[in-house]
Amino acid sequence: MSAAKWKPADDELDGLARTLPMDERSSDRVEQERTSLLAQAAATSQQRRGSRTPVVASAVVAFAAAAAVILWLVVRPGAPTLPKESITALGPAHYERVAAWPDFRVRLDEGRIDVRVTKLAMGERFRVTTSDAEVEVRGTQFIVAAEQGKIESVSVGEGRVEIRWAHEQPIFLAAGQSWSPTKTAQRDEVQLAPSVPAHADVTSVAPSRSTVTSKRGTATTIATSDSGNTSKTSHTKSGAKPSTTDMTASQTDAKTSMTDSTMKTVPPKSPAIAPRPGEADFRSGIASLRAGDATAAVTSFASACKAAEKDALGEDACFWLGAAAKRAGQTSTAREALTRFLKTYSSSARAGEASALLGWLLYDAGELDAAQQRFELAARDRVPKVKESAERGLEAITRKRGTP
Amino acid sequence: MSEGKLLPFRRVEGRTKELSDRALVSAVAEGDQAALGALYDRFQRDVYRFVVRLASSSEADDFAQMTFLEAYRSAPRFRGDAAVKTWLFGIAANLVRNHHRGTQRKQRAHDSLQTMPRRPPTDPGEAITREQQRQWLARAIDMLSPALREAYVICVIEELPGKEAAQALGVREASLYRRLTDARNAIRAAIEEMQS
Repeated sequence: MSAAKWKPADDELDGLARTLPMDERSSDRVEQERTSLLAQAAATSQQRRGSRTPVVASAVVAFAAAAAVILWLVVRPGAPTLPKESITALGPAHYERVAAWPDFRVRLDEGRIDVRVTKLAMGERFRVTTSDAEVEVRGTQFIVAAEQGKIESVSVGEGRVEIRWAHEQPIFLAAGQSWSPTKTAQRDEVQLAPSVPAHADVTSVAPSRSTVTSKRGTATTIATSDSGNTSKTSHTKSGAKPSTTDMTASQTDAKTSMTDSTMKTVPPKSPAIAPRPGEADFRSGIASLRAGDATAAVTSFASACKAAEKDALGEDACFWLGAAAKRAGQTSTAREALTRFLKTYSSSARAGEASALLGWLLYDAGELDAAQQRFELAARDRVPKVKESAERGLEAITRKRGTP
Repeated sequence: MSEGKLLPFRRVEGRTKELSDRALVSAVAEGDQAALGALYDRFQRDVYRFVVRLASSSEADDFAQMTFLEAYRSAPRFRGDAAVKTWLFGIAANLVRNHHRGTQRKQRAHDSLQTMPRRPPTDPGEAITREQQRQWLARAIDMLSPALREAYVICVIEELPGKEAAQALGVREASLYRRLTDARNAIRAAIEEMQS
């Protein structure tokens, strides 16, 4: 006869586990560790804007697979409506949602993610951040890649994207365009002509140290409608011959407006998507600005602003209406447009920029108190050039007031 | 004269001891090393006890220190939606998980199984002592897979509520409970094996 086997129930097992002995560390050991910790901390920078946490490959692969399943579930026929945003890892990626709606933010540390955002309501924002850049979107689909917390590239499938990278001016990307930071200074195809005095203008849509290319149907093509109803997701190997018959007018515009030799244009792969109201005018306005015809741009942006006032496109169009009018020397139109923009889109990411522009208009008109208010608002903007412009404005006001 | 001994750069005195856990992390987020020292003083025992159950005692020291260093680095991103202890446990679990990924842990469990002394033959009617049960249990926990082990340690030994434990481990609450059940079953199976 042998002793009965011990078969503990959950409670007994757990109770016993809590009584398991643990080797206590000596106070000297703890003190040494504490000292070493403080020494290392003194030599360690904190992660204020990004993470250096190593990518956990298998977990990410599992997550990507789960994301793919979820994506399939939501896009299949008869599925309930899509959530406002959809983020899918393209291969191993490490990212984290750091803020929820209405100011949705995703921090991307490593890898590539495919982001789809439906049309946003007024006051809503969607941003992807890395340690050195911020990508802001409005009703679009795009892919962002990062490596060790640094942005690697952005490819826009549909809609528009604004990139704020390092201390450069914001970059504006349209559907079919892609961007990556480069170390070599080179001309940017979408850089606006500096046609107004530097002190008075802070507007630009591209930095000087980056490359913007039009690149459709190459490595990855993911199609989605602007209303957020994703129609198809396809991954095409580079070199595959894409169709040319389904390119929309707006995509054609985006493609043909890029005229530099560095442009890499490949016919699109995505299905036809109807342009939104005001989109053609908006693109026409941008093209006019590029060509240095600010007067024509004013007309186009005015139409786009009116047609899409309640849309995110309207926010951009109304801003550019004011900026273009200022460049065209149409002071009253510029003042009216910028004042209206700030009233209508007070939470816009471009509010600081608009305030600075309006501040200079008011300054030129001798309305120093009003100009000061605008500059003070703009001085709090996070874009360095906007801040600098506002600070120069405040200094100019001080000097002017000091003059007898 | 005693042998040379490392002294802390700054001992924490005064106000930092009066700070709440979250206020302490906020101070750490500002780069306040005195606050980091206070955070360490307050939680080092908990963190060490947690990691020593997940890793070997020779590694536990390193993991404990790395946990606080990582906490210092990532404090600016602490949003306060979890208790500080939960947040630290999450960091520690991640560090151990990343370090022990792959076959290393399995090999350790396998080795443990191979070298484990069987229960010596007992006389009829001999009662199994509590100490013997503790030894079996400790070894059975050591043999668990990392996922089951961390679930069991954080829920049962550290007694964190399910929601917080799931948050710390970055899993859904339902998944955590499933792992907990699996862990208990695996422990029972291992103990039974040890007795045969």
